[in-house]
Amino acid sequence: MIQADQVSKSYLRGEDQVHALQTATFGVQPGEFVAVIGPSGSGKSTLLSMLGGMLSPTAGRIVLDGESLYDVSIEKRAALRNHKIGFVFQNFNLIPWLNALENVELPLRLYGHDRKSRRTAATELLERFGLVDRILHRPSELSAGQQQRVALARMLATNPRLILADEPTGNLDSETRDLVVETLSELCNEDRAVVLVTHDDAVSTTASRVLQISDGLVTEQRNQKERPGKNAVA
Amino acid sequence: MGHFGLILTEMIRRPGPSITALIVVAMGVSALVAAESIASSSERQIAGQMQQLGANILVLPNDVSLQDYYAADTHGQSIPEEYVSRITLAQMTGVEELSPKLTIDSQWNSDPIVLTGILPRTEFYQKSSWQSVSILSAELAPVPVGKKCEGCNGRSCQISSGEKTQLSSYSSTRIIHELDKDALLIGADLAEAYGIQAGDKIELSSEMSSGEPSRASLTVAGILPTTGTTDDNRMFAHLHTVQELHGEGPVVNVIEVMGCCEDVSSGLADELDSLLPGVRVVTISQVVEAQVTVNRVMNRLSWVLFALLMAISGASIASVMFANVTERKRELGTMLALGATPTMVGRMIILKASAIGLVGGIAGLAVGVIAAFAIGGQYQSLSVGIQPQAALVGVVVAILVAAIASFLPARKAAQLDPCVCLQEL
Repeated sequence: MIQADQVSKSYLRGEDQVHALQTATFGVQPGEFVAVIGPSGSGKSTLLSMLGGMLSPTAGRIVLDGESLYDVSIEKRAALRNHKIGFVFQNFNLIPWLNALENVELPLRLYGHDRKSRRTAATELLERFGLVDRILHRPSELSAGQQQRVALARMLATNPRLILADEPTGNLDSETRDLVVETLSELCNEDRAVVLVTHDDAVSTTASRVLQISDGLVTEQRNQKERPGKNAVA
Repeated sequence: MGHFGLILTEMIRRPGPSITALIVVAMGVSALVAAESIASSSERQIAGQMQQLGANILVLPNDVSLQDYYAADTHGQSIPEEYVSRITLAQMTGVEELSPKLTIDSQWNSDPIVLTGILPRTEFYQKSSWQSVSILSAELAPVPVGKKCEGCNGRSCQISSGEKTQLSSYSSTRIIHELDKDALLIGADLAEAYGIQAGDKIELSSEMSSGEPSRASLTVAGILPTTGTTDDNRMFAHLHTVQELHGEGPVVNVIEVMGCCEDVSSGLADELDSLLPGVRVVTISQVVEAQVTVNRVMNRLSWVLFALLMAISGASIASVMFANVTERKRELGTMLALGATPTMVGRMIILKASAIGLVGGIAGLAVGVIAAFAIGGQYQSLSVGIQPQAALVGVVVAILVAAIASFLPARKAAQLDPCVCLQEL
């Protein structure tokens, strides 16, 4: 589904060259649940941003469903992000002045889906996450767990093939954390792949594969579970 | 509509950042619309009033400015009525009609009323010393309808003999043939407002210059047709009745002279000036010119003010939008992550600024219209008409200024790195 090929990222900090990621090569197949672990500042978020088409690598290439993410136009890359990639963030990143329904509709709205179809899709997703009675609530009126569920619903609005989650459980209690991990895990069975950055061992043990990043170097650490499509390129 | 709907939602639910810019835009547009509408309506009114006035020379007390006379002829200054006789007896070439007037503040049932005293032509006729004066004896003779006018102005002889006997003809001709001393003519608007009808008795009171109260019981002789001028809100009575109420003896505020055009231009005004001491003789063209000049200055000032406020609006919008982009980095970054292109994000910023321009422009238009009507009605009894051209220019310029001012903030938003935005969380 997505293939990172000799991907490196370096940037200047003052006069020093910082190598955030060095010649990483790996692939993620449909059905895989990949956890990315590593200490703070090791390059986890950099990797996730590059996989999400938001940060171009200094070298190497990333191919999503046969298309090289950084060899296409900005518009095409944005459309790929919208249609094929779903993001889940640690801080949920809901738009504060939109209610739950409008937040879930947002990815569809950006690409001109008509009001009726996006309303229907968003309502169904919110129902799926048990938020039907919170549809008109703004993020500030929702608990952290509810906000993350809205964020999950928003992420699924465009039915993406690749889910990128950046510490999605970092701000949640253990009960909600389990719910989020379980949801992401279930989504892997729907011909999707999940790449999740986490510090939480309890979360990483749920993954089928774990990528360890240390000083910009990516290594495959261990297989947690047997899952379909685990034959990733290392 | 999707993106514009998003922008409107944000503006409605989070109005704070946009309010200041919106107010400045609204101020600029309202100043332009109000000033343009008043100036334009004022010009139209001058034309209308001058046409109604009929006279082309005004003999005024020396201290009265043209503005005072135009705004309201209750300026309080007076000249002797005897000046009317002087002008008549001087038999100046070109003087066709004279209309002395005295306007005072009066009261009816505790309501303030503007009362104007006018002199019917029969008064001239009765004064034997004037019998030989050609302008009056000639004009008083009945003129058959359709007869060719012989005077150079021809105004008085264009009036049919039937019209001369009608009280209502005053509104169109400014000449009244006959008016009893206890008769009262009522302006159309005033009659409608108070439900006054012909035959009604009206008790007017006033205060004489000595401070003593004065009263007059008058009978409504007729209701004047609508003229669209201040006359519609006045009462008219015999000059001598008004003089008695006023208590300053035989004085008038103004003598309107209907003069022959060629003679006016060849020095009739100068002749009147040398004949009458302590007066100011002005031609209507001077009055119109003065008002038109004032209007033009006001008009230019309104455009200068508009330009200044638009410049301030532009700076304000640019500042607000820059702050908005910085403040919303996380939101905009999220939108980029969800698939928005940089062009979309930039366009959203320009659309938002344009929406501020549009809403501010429309709000300014509404405020300008209300202000124009309020100011026009309060100070000049103007029948204000809105200038569609100024309104359109105001709103369109407001939108353009807002859009242009948001160009740099929009570029900044479009250049946001979604990844950097997310890392900053």
